[in-house]
Amino acid sequence: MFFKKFLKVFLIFLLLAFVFTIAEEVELHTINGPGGLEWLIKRYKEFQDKTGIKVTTTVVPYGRDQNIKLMASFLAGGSAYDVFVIDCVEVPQYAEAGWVLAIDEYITPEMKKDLLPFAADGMMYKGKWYGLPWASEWKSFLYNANLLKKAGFTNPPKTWDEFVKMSQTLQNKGIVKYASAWSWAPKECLICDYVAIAATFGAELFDKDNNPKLNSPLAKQALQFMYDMIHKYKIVNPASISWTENDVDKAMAAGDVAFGMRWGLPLVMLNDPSQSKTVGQWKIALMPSIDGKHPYTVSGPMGWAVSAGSKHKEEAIKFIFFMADREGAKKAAIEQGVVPGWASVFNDKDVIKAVPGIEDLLEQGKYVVNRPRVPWYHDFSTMFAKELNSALSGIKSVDQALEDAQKKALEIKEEYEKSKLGK
Amino acid sequence: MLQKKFGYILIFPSFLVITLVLFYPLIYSLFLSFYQTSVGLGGLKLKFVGLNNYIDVLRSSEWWMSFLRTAYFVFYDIFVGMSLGLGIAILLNKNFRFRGIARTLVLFPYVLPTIVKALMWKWIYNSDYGFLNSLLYQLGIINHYIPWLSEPKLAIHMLIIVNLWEGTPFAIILYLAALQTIPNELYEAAEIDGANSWQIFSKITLPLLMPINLMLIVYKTIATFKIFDIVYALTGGGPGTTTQVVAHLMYSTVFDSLQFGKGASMSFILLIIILVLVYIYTKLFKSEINY
Amino acid sequence: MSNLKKRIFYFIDIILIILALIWTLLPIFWTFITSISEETELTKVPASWFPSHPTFENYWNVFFKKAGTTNAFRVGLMNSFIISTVVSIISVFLGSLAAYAISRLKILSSNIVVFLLLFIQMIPPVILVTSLYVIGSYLKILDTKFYLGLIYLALNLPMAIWILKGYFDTLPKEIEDSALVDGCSPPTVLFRIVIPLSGPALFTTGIFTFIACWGEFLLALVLTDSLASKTMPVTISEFMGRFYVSFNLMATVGIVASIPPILIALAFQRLIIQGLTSGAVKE
Repeated sequence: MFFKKFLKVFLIFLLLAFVFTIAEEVELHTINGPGGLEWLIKRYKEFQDKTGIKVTTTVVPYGRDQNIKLMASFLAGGSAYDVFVIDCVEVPQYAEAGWVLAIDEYITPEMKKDLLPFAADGMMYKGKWYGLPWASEWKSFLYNANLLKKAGFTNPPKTWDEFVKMSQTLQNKGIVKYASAWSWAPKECLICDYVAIAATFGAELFDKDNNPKLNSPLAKQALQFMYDMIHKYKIVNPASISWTENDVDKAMAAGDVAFGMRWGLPLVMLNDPSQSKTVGQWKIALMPSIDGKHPYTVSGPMGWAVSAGSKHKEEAIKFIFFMADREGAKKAAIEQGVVPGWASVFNDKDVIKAVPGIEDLLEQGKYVVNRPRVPWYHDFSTMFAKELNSALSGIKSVDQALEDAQKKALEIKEEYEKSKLGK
Repeated sequence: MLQKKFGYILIFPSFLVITLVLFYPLIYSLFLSFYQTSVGLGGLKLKFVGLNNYIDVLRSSEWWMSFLRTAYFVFYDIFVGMSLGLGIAILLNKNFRFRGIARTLVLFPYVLPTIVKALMWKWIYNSDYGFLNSLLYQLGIINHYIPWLSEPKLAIHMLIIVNLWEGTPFAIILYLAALQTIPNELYEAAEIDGANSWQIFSKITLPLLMPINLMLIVYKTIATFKIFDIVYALTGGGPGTTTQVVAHLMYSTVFDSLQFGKGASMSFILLIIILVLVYIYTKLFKSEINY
Repeated sequence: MSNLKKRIFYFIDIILIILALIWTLLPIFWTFITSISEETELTKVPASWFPSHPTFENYWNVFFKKAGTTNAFRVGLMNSFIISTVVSIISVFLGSLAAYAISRLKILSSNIVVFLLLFIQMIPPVILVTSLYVIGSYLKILDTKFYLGLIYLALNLPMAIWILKGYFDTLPKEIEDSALVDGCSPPTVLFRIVIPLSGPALFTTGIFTFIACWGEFLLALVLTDSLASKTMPVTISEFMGRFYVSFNLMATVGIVASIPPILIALAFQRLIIQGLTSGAVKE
């Protein structure tokens, strides 16, 4: 009786399941998020065809998950992943801990000249190179030209005042429910948005020696403005407080908002009819700012790095240059919309032809700020995101949140320095 | 004697698996909890700090806030979740048509993978297209869409609803199982004696369910203090830190701050608190059950 | 009680049961509706209650499309199925041996078993995961179905032992005693008499283990790398990262991943409910 039933269920299972076996010899091992995976795998194949070195990848669900696995692998000697993509804010921590290989000897003076300064900067720590710039992105401000036209506007806002007024007009005319949406969940994405907006107010969150200055009047003004956008002007979808970049993308692609920010080459997804209902409607503009003269945004350059524990360092170096040297970066820009870190690739005719809006993008690229690059960044970022989010959701006052953040940032820094001395 | 020997042989494989897989990591964690750790290539760098990790945790307001928040989840689980479970179990224990299928359907939230539940509820709570807003709006209960997971006071309660939804079936299972063991003659006899339904419930059903109540309270306490996936997927601890639970804090201590020692000491503090709670429950219920 | 009164009560009961079912099923139903809706229909405000053009295209895509990620999802399903099934079978087998020893041969007091079970349930997985990674790495068994399965086995064995012990306690001892008197050895008694009598309990134990393994996420995420060992929850979360804009595709994946446990619930509801009786109620 039971066994019959069991057999039935078992058979249905077998019908549902498919067996695939993958048994390949591993040479180089890497780790990727699921974004653009098919293209990456295609490139790995091309690398194998060219050099005979196989590359296999582990796919993780999100960027954060990559951290867990990398940490675990470093604990076990760091040989599990030979190469990986590293974010600029992780470079100091990884370098201090000795997890990534310095690749100075492979970077020629001529390369140094051609690399965009912010992208190069992102891969450097204490004068050494820890990665080859790959997705040298910043966040671009976008507006939906169709929606703005409906409200009678032809130009995007230059100042935050204009931004507020235009948003209100758009909403009053019933064109959109909320004029903009942001990624203000208590995660890294909130820090990115805040760093950008703070810069548009002229605030500096860290001094030259990376000492936090989070409680400066300008920093407070910027955060207060973000709070007011939600609660006073009511021009921001209030769900933004729990949203990450993906949610904002979704709202932009659906045509629900008239303003938004995106990473990388931002129009590629928005002009893809399979993902977007707003094909051809979005345009890139400079960030609005307090006085129209600080159109800054946040940058998040990334690069290919080699694990210090890799057992195939030679091949690994070969691989990162295959992926991210000028040739590789050009291919990546044209085929996949990966922002190149090389000035010469940006000026390449093929690239300009293939990538829409690249001139506008470059204009914004002149005004970028990096997040603070300190070895205690992870700890800091977790704390700071919570404080910022507490202020935006009205749990704490802006003043209180930034004072607390400043205090805790100093504690984190001090603790890090103490533990380093203790080594 | 031979029997004893045979017994040891029988128990040995299970003992071996559990010890190998779980006890070594556990003891290693206990060891780490007395050290300050930093991750190096090929292992942890350790510095002995005695009880400092424990003291730090016990003095941290973030820890206690997270703890209280988690306790709030447990509170709802025990009082609302168990009452719901008992109520539905009593209903499902009655005779009606399609009883079998109703009993099956009610189990669904228990059997679904957590990741699927997270995916479902995230979509339901979506502030612009979500089903909850649509439903309440069309019923005229709300007049504008609400960002469920972005309002500080609301978010934790939305998570509690999910937790109740997924936790109730287990209570139903246990209560149903228990109700089925109560002989019908007891009820019939009581009815003949002229007892009303409330008297029957409070004098017969409830006392007989006491062991199950104890078990459920213990189980819920243990399970809910570990709650992580749903919170991580739906709010990530926000807004601010208003939904940060202990498991979340541990996760972030270990994987964001890389303080393995501190993370370990948190787990052991939590373990001890739960053990004490379980001990108290058992004592409380001992008197109840004997009575 | 009058007939009318009885009827009214019956009616109220039915209403309450329907409410309980709505509360339980509505989220799942809504997910199903999402999975058969077209993308454009999902962004309607307010939402429509039934798609005007229901389509099963997403299901077709999830099962048959050759794209990388749906392929990964199918492989993940298969891996989850293999791991969950094998772990369930082994944990039932080892669990029944241990349970018999505890129930009949009085090796450990049942208090110790209960304590062990509770204790293992209490350990936050976050704290095990890094140690398990390092151990696996030294033993070179990381990223294998074997290692993940072994860990699942250890985590689920105490529960299995406990359910089975509860069941064995309810079996009448006389048969075994007379068999022993007749000169049967304890192993014969166990394998020829006790285990064949315990079909339902063995199945229940297997089902609980299967469901627990089927849904586990954190350990699988950290301990598996390649398609050869990745399980369904991991591939789903990749899916969520990749197709975040297609709610209907995500809903489809969710529904598909729920089919095996739902089939189990449909087929073995009675066992799931009765199975714990022996263990729980007798406690």
